[in-house]
Amino acid sequence: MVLEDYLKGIHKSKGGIIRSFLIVENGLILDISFSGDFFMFPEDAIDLIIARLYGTEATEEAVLYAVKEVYKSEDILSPGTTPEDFMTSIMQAIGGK
Amino acid sequence: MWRFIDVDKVDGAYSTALFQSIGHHVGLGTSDETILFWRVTDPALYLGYHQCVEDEVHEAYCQANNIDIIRRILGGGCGYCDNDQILFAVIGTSGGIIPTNVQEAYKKVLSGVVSALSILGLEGEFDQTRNGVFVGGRKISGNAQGRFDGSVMVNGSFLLDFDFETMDQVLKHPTKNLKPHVKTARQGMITLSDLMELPDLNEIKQALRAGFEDALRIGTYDGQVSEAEVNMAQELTPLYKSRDWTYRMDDKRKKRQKVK
Repeated sequence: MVLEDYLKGIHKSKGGIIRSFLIVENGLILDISFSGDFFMFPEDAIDLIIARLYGTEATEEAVLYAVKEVYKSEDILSPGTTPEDFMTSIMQAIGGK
Repeated sequence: MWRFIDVDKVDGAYSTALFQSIGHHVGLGTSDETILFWRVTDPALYLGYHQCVEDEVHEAYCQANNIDIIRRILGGGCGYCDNDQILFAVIGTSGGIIPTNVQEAYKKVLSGVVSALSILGLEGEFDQTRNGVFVGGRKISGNAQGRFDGSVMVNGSFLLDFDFETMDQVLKHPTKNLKPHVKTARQGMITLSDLMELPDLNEIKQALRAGFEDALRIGTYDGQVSEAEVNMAQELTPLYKSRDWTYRMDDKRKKRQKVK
């Protein structure tokens, strides 16, 4: 798999930009990373969101469910940025939105 | 009483290590809640925790001009800083005076900057969509917030003067987080020297200190960085100077983009 295979999404939430880079195969997220100027407390909870998204079905419902699950379990605060914003960035990358 | 520390000019990497160390010790309860002021010895670019260098910074220009790129432990966007800015960190304990709600925390702490402007005879306002303080629609103070190790921290800058030309060379998106109609950083930002003949630096610092005291309804005493805080900051500084830390988000992305 090469660089060009990565899907790139960018979404501006109220709390900052979320860039997503991902690989989707057979309808599943095989690899993903995020960057941007959003805030998240704790900041390193983003790694748990990424870990949770591996293997997740690349649909709005599945992605949103997965991100929300981590938000809840880790008690994440991200002012101006919601699980829906992460989902939107991912769906932009996929081209579904 | 809160502790007030003005370390004045310090190295950019050391400053990030220092506010992390103070946050750690305040959270532990071994240090008093603290207002920290500093200026950078040499121009530096503070990068947000989640940002990639390649998305935000003209690296070649920074390298050619010895501008350090420093990834901080706090999220948010990047900021170019030179020694014409007073940089501050307002560091409290979790569950203390600084509100738990993130927006309320900005509002409360940054009303200290608004108060400082008022002391100097100027009128500023907190813009909650951009987490900054503006005068006449132009930003004079940009800010970030962090929560770790039992501490809550609101950091920011207060522009006395500014090298807009260099900022435009350093940042790929210099107008990000300014008002939407703005086309250049110069249009969207304002400095104290634009608004008045600059008072003595100590007078400005005193106004800022008094502004925070007023906003937080606290008193402060002149304090010093403790030995434990200095030791931890010195231990952390090499990390903040390291290529691996600075480029960690870029490396993560590139690692993924290699042939699998």
